[in-house]
Amino acid sequence: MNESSLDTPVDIKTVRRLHQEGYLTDEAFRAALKVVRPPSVWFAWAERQLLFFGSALLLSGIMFFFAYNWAAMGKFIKLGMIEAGLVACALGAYKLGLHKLTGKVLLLSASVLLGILMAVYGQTYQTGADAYELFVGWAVLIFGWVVISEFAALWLFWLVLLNTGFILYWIQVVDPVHSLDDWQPIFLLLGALNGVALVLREIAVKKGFTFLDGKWLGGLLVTAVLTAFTVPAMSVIFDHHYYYGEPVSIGYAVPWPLVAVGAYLCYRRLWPNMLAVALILMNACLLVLCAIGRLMFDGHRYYYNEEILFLVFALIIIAVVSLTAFGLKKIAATMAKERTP
Amino acid sequence: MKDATLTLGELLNHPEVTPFLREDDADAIASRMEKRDEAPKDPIYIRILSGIGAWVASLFLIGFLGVSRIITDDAGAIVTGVILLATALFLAKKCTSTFPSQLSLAFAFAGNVMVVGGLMELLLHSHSSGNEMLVLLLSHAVVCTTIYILYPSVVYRFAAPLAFVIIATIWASVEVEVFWVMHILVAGEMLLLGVLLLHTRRSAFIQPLIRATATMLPATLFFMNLTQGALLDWHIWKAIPQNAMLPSTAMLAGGVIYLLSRLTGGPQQFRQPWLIVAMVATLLLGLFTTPGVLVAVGLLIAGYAFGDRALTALAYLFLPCFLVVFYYAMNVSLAQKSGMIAGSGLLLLLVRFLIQRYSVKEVEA
Repeated sequence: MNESSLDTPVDIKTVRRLHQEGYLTDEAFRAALKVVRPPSVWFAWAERQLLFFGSALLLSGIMFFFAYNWAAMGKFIKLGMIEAGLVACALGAYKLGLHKLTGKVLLLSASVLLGILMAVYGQTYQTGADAYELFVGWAVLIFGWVVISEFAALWLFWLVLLNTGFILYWIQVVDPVHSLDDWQPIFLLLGALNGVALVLREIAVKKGFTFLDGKWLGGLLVTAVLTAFTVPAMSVIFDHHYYYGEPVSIGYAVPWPLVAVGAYLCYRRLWPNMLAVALILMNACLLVLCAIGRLMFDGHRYYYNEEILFLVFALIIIAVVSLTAFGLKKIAATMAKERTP
Repeated sequence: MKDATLTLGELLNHPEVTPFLREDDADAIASRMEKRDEAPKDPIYIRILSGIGAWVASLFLIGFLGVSRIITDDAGAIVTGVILLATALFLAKKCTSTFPSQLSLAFAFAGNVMVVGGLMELLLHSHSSGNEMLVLLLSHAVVCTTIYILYPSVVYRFAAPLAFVIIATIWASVEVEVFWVMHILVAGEMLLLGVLLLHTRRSAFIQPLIRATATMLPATLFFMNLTQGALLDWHIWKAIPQNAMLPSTAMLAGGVIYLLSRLTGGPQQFRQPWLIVAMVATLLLGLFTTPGVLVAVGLLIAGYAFGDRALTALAYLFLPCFLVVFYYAMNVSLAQKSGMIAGSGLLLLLVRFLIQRYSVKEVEA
């Protein structure tokens, strides 16, 4: 028996595969399943997922309920119901403690209910406040809970509120009649906002705040930052005003390479993270292909046969994508080696 | 929740497993594991990049063939498509480096489109028109099945079945215009996913089809939800029945119950209190909730049970997206929607409470 191949950690997938391929009998398979994933693990998983799904559905249901215009329901009943829910959730979180997942989810629920309360209050008394005020006020009011929660989902929710408030502020205050031709700054500012959140998250993880360590959160933030900086860069590439008006300032494309190179270096050297590196390189691949396509189809179609451009561009896409995939495989292998002690 | 941390060797030497092992099982498993190490799979981000890249490149290839007027009739399209497919197969067999693989994938996509387009034109010439989408669907079914068997690309094997379901959905909504057909599509997707997950070896040959089916099931439900009412003032269906989603909800509830019973080891486990609670809750969900909730729950269970993180991620991605789409579903009032969603949430939390009590008792026992 080769010992080294049996030194690999075993998971449920491996056990199932070995059974399917006939290496384990039905009895051995059932016994192995119980060892690898005992009922206690199944129960713990089910409790966690039921809590997440159940709470998400219940909170969504409450939102739907108050979005329906209940003409027959008095304002005190409406506000009272939400307040009761809010207080119950906050007290529940306090009683259970924030070291427990249930406590954290209850605090998240209280945070959501606070926003619903503010929305219903604004709807009932017609306060005349702009929508951005609701989201910014909501984010400000729950900030204390967010800080003490040690719960990544609540931090993400808070960031979503800030993003929404920021977008609405731009639409309702900075450019209420949509008169500005330059809409790119809002994306750059959103990129900066989420970029700061990303850097703070990485520093916090390094400092030992493990609750922010989830791969999903890092991936989501990197995607948000890259998307926000990519949109202005794309607008420079596909500048429709170029032929008949003021061109889009090339300055809007400048932050993207700076951010992409900076992020690449950080995630390659400082905080090694293959998923982030892959997202950055795939994003770069997209922008490079868009730039080449724009140059080819707009710059040279009068000089060459258009059909040749189609063929050449197809080959360029394949070449650039292959190069990116090749590079990613190499980097992944190198990073895996670097991780091995 | 993480599984117990064990190496394969420790598992095989575990006192609860060892009695059931045959004499040479451990050696056979060791050599099997060595083989697995020799052929590592591309990470998912590379597969996504390759798939999108090849698909866009194939569009430009088709654009080249179309604009250059190399192909003037249906027979020409079929012949060119077959040549592209043959080249794709040749490249896939002979070359392993990245560029030829990518080129091969682009040729496969372009070849598929050319052959299907050519077949469609050919069949429509000899028959009356009005069934274009059905002809397209059948042509793609034939081509996709053939290429799926012959062409060993994970990306193609994922994308081609997806295209089949998309064409089927367009056919149902454009040519048939009967909402019931969508329930049949949901039933087909659910059965296929169940059979593939529970009754096949889930080899590399099957795995992309599992992922494609798992992706299309929620996507079909999105479409059904969005088109129950007028979609941007466009009435897709001839008529929408009362409780339009009920058949799919009932079928999916049955599917989740079957999944639970199979995963727990069959009818002999039906006396377990927690399983009874889970099954009753699923039945109740089948009576009043929206099918989106059941699909999310089903994918979550399947993802965890089979250790397939893609299915788990799909469940987590699908639920919030579905809730947003459901909010805009036109033929149900917000009050009803609120009842369905909040009721489902309460039910799941109740199940959690009961399971928690049961698991505490188990631990104490």
